[in-house]
Amino acid sequence: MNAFLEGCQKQFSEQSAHLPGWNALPIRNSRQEAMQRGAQIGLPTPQLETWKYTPTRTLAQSRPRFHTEGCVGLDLEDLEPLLLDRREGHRLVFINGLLSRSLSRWQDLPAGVRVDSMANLARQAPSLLEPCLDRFLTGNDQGFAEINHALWLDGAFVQISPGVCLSKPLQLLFVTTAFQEPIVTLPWNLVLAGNDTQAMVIESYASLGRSSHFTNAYTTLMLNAGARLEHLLMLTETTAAQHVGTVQAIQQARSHLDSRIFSVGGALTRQDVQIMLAGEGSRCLQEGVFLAGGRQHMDFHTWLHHLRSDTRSEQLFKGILDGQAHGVFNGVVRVPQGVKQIRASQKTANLLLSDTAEIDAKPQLEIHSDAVQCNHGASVGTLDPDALFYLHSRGLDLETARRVLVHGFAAELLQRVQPAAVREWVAQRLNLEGSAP
Amino acid sequence: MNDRPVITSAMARSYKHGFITPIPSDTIQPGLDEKVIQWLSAKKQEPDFMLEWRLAAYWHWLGMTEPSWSSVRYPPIDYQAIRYYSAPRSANPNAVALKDVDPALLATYEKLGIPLDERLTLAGVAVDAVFDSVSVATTHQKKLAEMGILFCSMSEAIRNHGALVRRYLGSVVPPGDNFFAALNAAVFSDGSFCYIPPGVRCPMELSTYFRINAAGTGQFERTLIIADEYSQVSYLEGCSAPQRDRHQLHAAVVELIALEGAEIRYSTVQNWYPGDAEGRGGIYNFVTKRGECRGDHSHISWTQVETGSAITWKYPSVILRGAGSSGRFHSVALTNHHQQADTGTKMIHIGADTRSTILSKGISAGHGHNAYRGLVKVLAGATGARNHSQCDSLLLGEHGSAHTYPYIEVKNRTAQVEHEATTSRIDEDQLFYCRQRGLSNEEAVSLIVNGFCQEVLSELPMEFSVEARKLLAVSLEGSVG
Repeated sequence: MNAFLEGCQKQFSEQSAHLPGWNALPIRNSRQEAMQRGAQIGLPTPQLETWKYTPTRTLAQSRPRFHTEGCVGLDLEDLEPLLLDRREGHRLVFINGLLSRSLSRWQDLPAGVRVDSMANLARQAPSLLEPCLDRFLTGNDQGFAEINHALWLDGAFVQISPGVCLSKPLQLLFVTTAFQEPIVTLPWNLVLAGNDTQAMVIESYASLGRSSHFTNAYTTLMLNAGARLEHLLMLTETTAAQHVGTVQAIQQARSHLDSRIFSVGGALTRQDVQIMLAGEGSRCLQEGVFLAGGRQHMDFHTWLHHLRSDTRSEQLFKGILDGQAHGVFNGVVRVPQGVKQIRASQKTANLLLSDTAEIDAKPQLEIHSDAVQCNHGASVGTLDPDALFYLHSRGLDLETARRVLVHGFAAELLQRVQPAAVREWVAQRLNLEGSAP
Repeated sequence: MNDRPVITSAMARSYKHGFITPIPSDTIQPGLDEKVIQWLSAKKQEPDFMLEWRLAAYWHWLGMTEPSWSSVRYPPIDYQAIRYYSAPRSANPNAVALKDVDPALLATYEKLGIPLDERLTLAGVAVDAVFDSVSVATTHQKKLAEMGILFCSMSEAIRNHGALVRRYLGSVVPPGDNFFAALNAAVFSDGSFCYIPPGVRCPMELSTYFRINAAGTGQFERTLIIADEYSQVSYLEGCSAPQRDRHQLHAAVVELIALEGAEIRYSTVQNWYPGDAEGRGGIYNFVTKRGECRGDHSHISWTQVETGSAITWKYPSVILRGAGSSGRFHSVALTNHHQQADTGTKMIHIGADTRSTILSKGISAGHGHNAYRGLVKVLAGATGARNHSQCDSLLLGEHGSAHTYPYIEVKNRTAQVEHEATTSRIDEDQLFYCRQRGLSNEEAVSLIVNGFCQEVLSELPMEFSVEARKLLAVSLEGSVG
């Protein structure tokens, strides 16, 4: 067993009584079972096919330090660029994994929307969480997720009552501050979108200071019949941080999910997205763009499970790699036997900007039914020399021409982000201002 | 739309090569240990270096575990229950003329449509006929020898061209490469050897026909083709086996070496016994095929039509080492009833300006399972590398499955790699159109499938192309509904 897992087990045995929801039997059971499974399967290693390219060794050998105290004296000015809308926006702000009520703002949310910290909810209304506990993903590659299930300390809870439409985006901001020793944060977020609801949730991760830390996040999205949810994940932690996260979405009939990922952060960033199209007529759009430079490693694994007939998915994932960065994209579309009228399209395009960057792309189709129309495409290349030359000949210096082309490559995905205020904020966080008109 | 009229084809699936040749044969007891390998090596009158090579591979194999990463499922194979050598008693290792070969064997090949009599054969094809564990005849050797081309059985090559064999054998697929390659290296009994001298363009198609006849045996053949500088060769491989309700193992290794400017085209029409409609019997086909473009501007192309075998597990690959070298992979894999295929290719770009093309067509009918698994790897030194891959899958019937696992690993920014794939069933509109022009449902499907595979079939040499088309039609019989 490695140092990381040992540390987690130690924390679990010593601190379990302080974990949120420990007094509620189902939550306690869920935590205990997760810890057992986690200890059994261990942390994923490159021997596992789904972790083949992810270097988890240094992480596994580090001893985790958990942070359980309240937040430090930060005020809104410190968070300025990380906030979508400082004055009017609805947000839950978590500092070092724990909710900061003073920095959060949800007073004027419309009726029928309940937001809370998971820690609070687990103590006061644990029955709300119970139905979600047995929906967690299992498998021998879920080591990090199991640790999250066992040890989660806080996170955002969002419940939207049937028929309610959230007109403004809701931001969930997770900030980790500098510590002498790197700390581990383990948020579990839960979004319950009731029947025929509409909402946009922006989940963003950032760091203050340049220190290293490890985020192990798990987000559950439950879309009831007819719900429309836009989920935007922003990964902008420092290039010294490590991030492992999972987004699990379960979609009921006629629900629509737009899942978008924008990533620039982390020394190691590994994000899994598991979308279950579990109701007839459900649709999902999965998009992402990542920009990696220096020695960053960015790793994205998506699974789209078409569990019911008449479900559709569309996916486009782009990677831009510079320096000695290593990018990975692995997308799986799975169609089990017996389901019909499936349409799935999956595309990944990757840009290599330096001689030392590396990309490993693996789009994957697993089809067990004949009533399908599925396709996928993958491409890897560099900037078109003709396009560069053209821009150069129009008077742009090479550096600017290069930037214009890179921005153009990312713009396809940025442009689809609505409303404009969110789009501009995303572009600014990604350092891609001006690329989305 | 599931209202396609069900055609209940009265014809059972016909596998016309399923007969058995009743011929006395020398077969060793089942099981594998060092003694078997020593016996085999002695039987083949091999030099010492071969025995050492085989034993090293065997020891390595003992420490290996059978791979389980592929998508094919089968009950565990008992490697001690297989007979590792079986040869017709009448096979004459020193047969120089066809008159020395047992007429019963000649009749078998005649029946398979491969007459070995040089006057009867198609003028442009030289055949090495492998029956169970041994090569029984090789045609046109004399004519080829005049041009300096060596074309003979592997055993003969080991005895007569030891230096060449020693230099190249295992240099592309090392004995410890993978579980089945290690097993093959330890126990391979025969196969074909071919050497094309510099600057020679081989005047005829070279081919090997593999036939498994004896029961309870495995076939382990090894083929080595060396194309010296600026030479050219086209090679065909065919195979078949009797209809039996027990599985038989076939674990072959093929190595191709193309030196500077050389070109090798390797075509396979694989028609091992696929098992019956319930999935009983059939050949387990675990094959390692790999070519290396060792010299600059060399070219290797693999074309395969896979219609047989209960299980197909093979990934013909090209290592593109020489600058400007190119590789191609064209494949049609058809699975019907309970057949499973996990096949694809690896293109390893090492040299600058290397190019590769992958075109794979998978067809799953009945409960057939088809997976494309491919790797395109561009190493840091492969400046200007280019790859295009296309893999399409066609599903006939709701119980089939089609998987696509393309791995793309790129470490050079100047590389351009593209992959595209589609999976769907036959377009209803196309079917309707064909039917309203008077074709039966079965004919219509056959026509559409043929069109789906057209790009690959047109890569095959003419005679093979005709054969492959017939095979596709036969293999689909009874599956349309």
